[in-house]
Amino acid sequence: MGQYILKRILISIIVVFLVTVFVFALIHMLPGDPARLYLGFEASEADVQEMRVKMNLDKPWHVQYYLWMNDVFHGDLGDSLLYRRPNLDIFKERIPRTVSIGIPALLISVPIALIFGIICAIKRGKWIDNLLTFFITLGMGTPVFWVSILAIYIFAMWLKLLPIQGYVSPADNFNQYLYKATLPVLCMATHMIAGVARNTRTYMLETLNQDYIRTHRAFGISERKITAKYALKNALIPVVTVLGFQVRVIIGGSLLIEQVFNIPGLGTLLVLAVNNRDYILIQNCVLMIASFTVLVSLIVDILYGYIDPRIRLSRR
Amino acid sequence: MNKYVAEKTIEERKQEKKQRSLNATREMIRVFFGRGLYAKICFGIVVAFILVAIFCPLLTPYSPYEQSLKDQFQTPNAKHWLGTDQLGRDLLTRLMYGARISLVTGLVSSLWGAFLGVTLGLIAGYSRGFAQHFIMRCVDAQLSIPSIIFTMILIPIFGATILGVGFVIGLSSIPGYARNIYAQVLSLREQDYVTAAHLVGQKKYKILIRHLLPNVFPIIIISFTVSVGAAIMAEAGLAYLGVGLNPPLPAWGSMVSEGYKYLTIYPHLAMYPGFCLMLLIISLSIVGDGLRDALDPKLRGKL
Amino acid sequence: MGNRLLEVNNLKLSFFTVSGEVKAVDDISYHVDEQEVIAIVGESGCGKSVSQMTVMQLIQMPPGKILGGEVLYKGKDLLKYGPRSNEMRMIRGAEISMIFQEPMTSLNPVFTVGDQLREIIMVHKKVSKKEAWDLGIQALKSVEIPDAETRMKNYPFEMSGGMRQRVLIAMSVACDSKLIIADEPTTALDVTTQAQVTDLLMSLVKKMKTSLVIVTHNLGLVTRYAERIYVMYAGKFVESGTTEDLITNPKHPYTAGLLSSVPKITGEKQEKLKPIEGFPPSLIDLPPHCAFLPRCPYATDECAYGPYPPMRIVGDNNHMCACYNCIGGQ
Repeated sequence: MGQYILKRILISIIVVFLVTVFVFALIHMLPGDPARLYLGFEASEADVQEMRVKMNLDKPWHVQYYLWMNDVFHGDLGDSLLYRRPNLDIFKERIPRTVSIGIPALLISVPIALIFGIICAIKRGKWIDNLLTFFITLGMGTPVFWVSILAIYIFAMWLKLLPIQGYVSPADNFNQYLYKATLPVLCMATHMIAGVARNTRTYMLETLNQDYIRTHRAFGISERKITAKYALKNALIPVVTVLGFQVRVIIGGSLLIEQVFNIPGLGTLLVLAVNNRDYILIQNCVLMIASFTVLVSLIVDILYGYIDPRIRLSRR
Repeated sequence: MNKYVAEKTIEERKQEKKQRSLNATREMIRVFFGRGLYAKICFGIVVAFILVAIFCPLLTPYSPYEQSLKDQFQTPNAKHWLGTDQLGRDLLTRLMYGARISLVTGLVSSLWGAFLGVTLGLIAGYSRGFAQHFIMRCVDAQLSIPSIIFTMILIPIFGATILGVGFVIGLSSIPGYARNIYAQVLSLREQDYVTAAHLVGQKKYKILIRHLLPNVFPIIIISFTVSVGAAIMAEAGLAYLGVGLNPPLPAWGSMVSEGYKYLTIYPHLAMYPGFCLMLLIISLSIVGDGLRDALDPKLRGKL
Repeated sequence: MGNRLLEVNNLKLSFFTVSGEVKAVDDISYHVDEQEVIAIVGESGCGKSVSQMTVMQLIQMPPGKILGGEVLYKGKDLLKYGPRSNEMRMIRGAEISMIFQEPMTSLNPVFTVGDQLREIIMVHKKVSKKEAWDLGIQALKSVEIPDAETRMKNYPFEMSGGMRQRVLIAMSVACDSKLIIADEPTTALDVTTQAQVTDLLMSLVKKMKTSLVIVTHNLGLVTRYAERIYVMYAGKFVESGTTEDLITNPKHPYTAGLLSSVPKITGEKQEKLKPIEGFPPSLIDLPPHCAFLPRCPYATDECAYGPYPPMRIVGDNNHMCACYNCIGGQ
């Protein structure tokens, strides 16, 4: 187990390193000159040149990469070209908003998805499986922005139950937060339920077809106990990995959901930065997001190793 | 053997083999269409969308771009069956051309993504040592960035055209292909026939192409059907955010985004393209499920 | 001879697949007496494992479907209970146990051997968790697993194939089953382990006064242990009788073929092994005539144009055979 964890950590570090190289290369391939963008089109060529020196853009690329990494390790994520202030401050402001939508959505969607998936697998081919599978297909095939717009149309415009757009932080006014965040949270959750439920169903079906389930049956263990205890533990091990993947789904989904509901979170920030060619912000924001998802996968992998005795007890 | 079993001639054996492959094909078609009524309806919907996408200039007298401010915000009528949008363009015409954009980007990106992903997956799965680890770690690195962010950043480099967007979405679908193929090849390369090919001294690339590629083919097809739908969804998402295909191109995503502004008064502007999108993606995924069952019964319920 | 323990009459089971009806078990009848060891022999794919799974009602339905017959255990028809009934559940493991041919995959990989063993004991016996654990240790000891106390806490992946098969045998004896069905118990094991496991199984059966059904393709193996043998071909029994009669005086050409394809160590002169030519038929679209016809060296017009030959008595001790041209007349 110790070596397994060590290996996972090493792999994560390599992956993050590859991400930095990748993001760095990407940003440098983008058209446009950050210095010119920062100063505006009226600025003189000399000023731009001076700015280039200030931003280290005149140095060879490996020096630039080193300087960037050096800054990152010292907790400096650069200044935004668009907002003209430290990126770190902007992120600190925006991340809680995205989290306040993502975490409730995760908490709502996971139990529902697991229950759906297990019911489908146990009742395979029965009407309830067909019904839930239909909803899962519907959920998987509907773009998240479209779900959001439909939800707004039905719940906000037609039934007038909830507000159309906007956001209030839970720290400022919790009731207002609940009122405004309900729709985006539910839309994010519907977006996530389908994928997790489908995977759970698959893994559960696969497990129920294994030889050892037949052995349990052949020795008189009740169906209920087989599914609730013996099959479930086997099926949930791969599901853990799927749950780790949901962090990526939340971040990706937040781009669209925040746009529709006009929530000033990380997603809207990124779209704004891309539209305004704010290279420094994009570069650091993507690095931050990627590092976070790698960290989550690392935790999930370690958890996986802990749940699965085949890894936990191996001396590798 | 005895006199009650006639020795089969070579001709008869050939005939039998032909018959068997014919039966297998028939069986595949039977399974494909034998999945209930709604699978058939979905197949019909996909075919209809493809036909509309191909023949849209013949089906409508209007242009998707021609504006006419006096005709704006018309409700459905005899001249404009689905009404007109905020610039007086015929909505049905724009939807039809939108199908073309969605299907072309979906197809281009999936073909391109399949080509790259399968190649990388094959190489990673078959070679041991550096290439294997390097490719898979790169795939992990790409996976760590949510694909919508990945595509959003790359589009300015390759241009916000149908081909550029398709190309970038194709790149973003590499990890899916590469991981599936990689896992499959890892188990295949230990098979006896691969070892045997090694022992008789076949070249590595020949083993890859002749022995491994045909065996991962069902997986490629299945991943492909999944990725066409995903690519259409991704394209729509990018267009919705305004970082992909931009107006006046009649991409469904940007039509939804534009229509959203008028949702209170003219909901049909956002509703029609949204429903088209949903209908096409869901139908594609159900057709994909059917194809998966028909191609490989062992994979039923998986992937 | 003891009392009749299990009697199977005219059991029929088919799988309904997309390619057609697979007649896996077609009208078979047999019986097992108390403390008796019988064997069901046949090539792979002839339906012998399926027939035993049907007795235990472990077949997935659908695609499987029982089309008729009865399975009388101590005089009660098990098929009337239905596969998911409580009555059937209490019989599995406590009255009839089954050992499967894949020891590597037949134990749950994420639970310890002790957990799985204890669960079975607690289903069938009214004992506390602690007592069940101790009974589990006893069961492991009875199958000669060294260091049973620590082995209880092991996961299956920490054990060898032979060891896992012993655990499965321990599960069968833990609740004093009256009948053990061993489905190719040693096929997946090394040759040396095969002999050990078989000897262990046989000595346990003797000691616990249990009946045993061995399902195997290995005719050499069963002649040493089984009292009676049923030979199966394409879903049907083609010959049955005491082991001695069957070995010394096979009546069905298929049995004769099987025997001459087994190497003999005792023969004075090295005989050449004679394999049976051709392949077993697919169980879909079986012909109306004898299924062995294409491979039979004794085939006549009666075989080719007549109906399927019924089982009939052809010798002493209830020696039965389904053939028009039994070897040695009759």
